[in-house]
Amino acid sequence: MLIRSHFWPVGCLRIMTSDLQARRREELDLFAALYPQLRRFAAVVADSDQEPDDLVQEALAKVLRRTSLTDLSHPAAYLKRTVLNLVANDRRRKGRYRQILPRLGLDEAMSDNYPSDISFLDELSPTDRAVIYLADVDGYSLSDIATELGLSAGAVRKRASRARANLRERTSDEPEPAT
Amino acid sequence: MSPNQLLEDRAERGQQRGAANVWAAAIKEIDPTPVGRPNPWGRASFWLVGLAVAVVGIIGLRQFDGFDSVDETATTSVEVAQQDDDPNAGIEPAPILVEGMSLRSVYSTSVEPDGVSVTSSDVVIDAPTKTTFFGNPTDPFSSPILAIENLDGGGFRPWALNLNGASLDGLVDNLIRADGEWTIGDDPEMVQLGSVTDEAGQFPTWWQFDFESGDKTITLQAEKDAGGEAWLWITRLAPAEGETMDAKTIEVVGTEGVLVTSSTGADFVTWESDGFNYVARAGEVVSDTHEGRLVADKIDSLVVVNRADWQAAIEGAGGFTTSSIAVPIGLVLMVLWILSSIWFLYKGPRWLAAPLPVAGLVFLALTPDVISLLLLIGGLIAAWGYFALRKDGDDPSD
Repeated sequence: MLIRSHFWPVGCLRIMTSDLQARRREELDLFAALYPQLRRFAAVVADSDQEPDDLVQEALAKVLRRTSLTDLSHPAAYLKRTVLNLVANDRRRKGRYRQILPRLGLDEAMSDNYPSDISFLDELSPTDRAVIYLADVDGYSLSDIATELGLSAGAVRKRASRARANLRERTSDEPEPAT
Repeated sequence: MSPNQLLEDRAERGQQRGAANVWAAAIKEIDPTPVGRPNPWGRASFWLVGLAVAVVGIIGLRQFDGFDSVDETATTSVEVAQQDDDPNAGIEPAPILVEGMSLRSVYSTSVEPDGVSVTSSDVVIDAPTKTTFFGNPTDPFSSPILAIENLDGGGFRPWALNLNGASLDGLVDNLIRADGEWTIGDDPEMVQLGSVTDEAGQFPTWWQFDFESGDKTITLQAEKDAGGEAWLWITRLAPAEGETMDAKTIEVVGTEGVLVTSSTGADFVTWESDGFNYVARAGEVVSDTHEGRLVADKIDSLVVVNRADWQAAIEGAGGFTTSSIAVPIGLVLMVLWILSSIWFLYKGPRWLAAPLPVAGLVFLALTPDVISLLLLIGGLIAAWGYFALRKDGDDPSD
């Protein structure tokens, strides 16, 4: 007993390390369960030139720097909002960059050339894409979307309505592919 | 293509890497060490700080064990001269303090130096084997005293008290060698008073007490002589060439001592009591230089006190103004260590909390000194520095 008491800090360290590893495993299990919906969400809200998994990874790292996944009451919502913020931040950066391009005479050369259906979605804001995706594909109610994305119910309704109208208009104008 | 189909297609775009791969990449991004493995350097460095504090603690405790080791090595009963009820008299120096001065530092050794002679053998080619003292048998310190060091090579070195150079030369001219030793011829005024062999000069215990008041200092040395030879003290004189020494008896701490004044103006008082030889000198710090001063006027300020008070003064001395600065700083640091431990336990990397209480407990057993205080400060800086500069994600709970 006396000998053990001399080495209690080492024992404590081992317990703490194993405790940390156990918590990491819990977080990984939780993330694995959330990954499919997060990945789809990221693929929708991200611009075409962004890899969905890169976005999920960046959001996950950002969250883990601040807290533990298992400590969050709504980890899925927290991660989705983080994804959305990252996309918005990226857009702001690109916006400043695009303002500079014409002055350099590079706007034509640097412009992306994506298929038209993809470009329809890219013309919507990331939040609008998130709203109509959650509502029309994942079947969330507007109030659930408001909670999930941290928006007011009214703002969600307006965004959903506007985005749907925009998409319908663009898809109806699109000529049928030649057979 | 309907909007919903468009969204569905977009949701499935790209190459999926899988949850495990994304997780591993995210963890790697926030923590460059492999997942699940602790950063060994951070932990090792902090444990080293804890270990260093423990080592300093052990060293500090061993220094104060000097008191106990003196007790353990004393095997003979000694005559108590200073205080009849003092159980440590004779195995420790007399509990002497200086009125009006504080005890600043104490040095001691209970280890017998190997082959060290208390004479000036290290400054002469031939070491002295035996020193013989000659003088007036009834009142030696008011008369000339001649000391003859018999040297290894067969020669001798003379020196004297209460003698001028010319008289010394006259005495030396009459030295004769008998039975392999140098001695004075038949002279009733210069009989042999005593002698000290080289072996008797080996000292098993040596103490030095530094007292100070402002720039004024008094240094008291106490050596426990192996042979109990009262003349041992005089072998420390080692007068310079042309220097003369005047000696006279004087009362110091209730016993008879000898005040020795050199022709250079320096003096010291020395006495023998309970098997210890004592020497006291006065000084003054002038422009950061310690200069000798006459001790004769300050002899009355040497007082024998209660041994408990003496021990308390010793424990309060050592290092830099321990009692006034180091103890409060040490207590503040201890509180910081404890608070840091609690913080790391609940908020920070938990492994940082483990060595802190260990180091703190060791420190509690110490009288704080500069090194242990600096180590405590260094430990705190290392812990919080690591905490502040570490890569996020080492512990996701913070």
